[in-house]
Amino acid sequence: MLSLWPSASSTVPGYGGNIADPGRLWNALHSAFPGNLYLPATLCTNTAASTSTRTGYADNDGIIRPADATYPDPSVATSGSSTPYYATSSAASSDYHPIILNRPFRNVAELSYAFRDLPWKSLDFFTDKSADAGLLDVFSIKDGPGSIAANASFIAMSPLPTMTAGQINLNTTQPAVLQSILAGAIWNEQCQ
Amino acid sequence: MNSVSKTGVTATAAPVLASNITTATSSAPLANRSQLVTRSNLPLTVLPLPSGGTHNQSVKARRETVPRAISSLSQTRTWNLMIDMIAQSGTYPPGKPILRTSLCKRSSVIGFMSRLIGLLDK
Repeated sequence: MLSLWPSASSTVPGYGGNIADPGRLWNALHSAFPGNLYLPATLCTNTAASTSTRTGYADNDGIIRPADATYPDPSVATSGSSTPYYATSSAASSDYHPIILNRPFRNVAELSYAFRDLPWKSLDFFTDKSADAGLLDVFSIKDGPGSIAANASFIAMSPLPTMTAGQINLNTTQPAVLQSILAGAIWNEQCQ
Repeated sequence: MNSVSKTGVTATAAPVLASNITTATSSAPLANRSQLVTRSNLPLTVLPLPSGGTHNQSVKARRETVPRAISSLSQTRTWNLMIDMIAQSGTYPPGKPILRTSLCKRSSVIGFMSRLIGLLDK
């Protein structure tokens, strides 16, 4: 069985490598990659353009945007170990699994849990190449209260409040202000 | 540990994260919240990649802790107003204007109370 990864790691088996007989299904696909090399697992990092050891792609604007597992864990050298493929008994592979948010949003940045409709990509709020960060400016979780009829049916949302307490200046020069908000923030929705 | 430490000097501690943000924005303020993510190299400045084995700085969902914590509680049009309030107790002689009297029998500063108030234009 060919590996998804260039290093042919036994812990992450799958299909990948040199596509000797692409067939009709692969005709369009493999021509985009040099030397017929297609390593689909490396799409979960998508750190750079395709080479003999990785497969990568740029968006329509020409920018190669990292996938969710773009930052490897430096403590593990095995190829693919710092990705959703890492499924050894000692590794917390669940660290890299997608998060299904089975509750209402609690803040705007939780939009990043949404799938990006591209392989191994959810909405990106963690790299400076993000094409999704603008969502932070246009969405809010602080709508006005809903108007409810006597029969408990929803009528409409009330206007947004013109003044809101508890907001802080993102450009504040007082670290203690930001510290009070960051302290105790959860790293993710999973148990570690 | 599944939450940001309230104290400490490691890269994942709240005081360090907060200091990194204020340092980065002191010379070039952010124009909007999305720049917390898109400003060149800022995400890695606020939360550097680890040199050891911890995952908290590698996994996407964990790296996004900072925007998750701040995104809905901040904006760049907010003024932070620090109010120091001094309360004083005591009695005043009859007929003395309160604000000009200096003959309090007992004066004690109860305490300082500082409160951050965000004033939004919208």
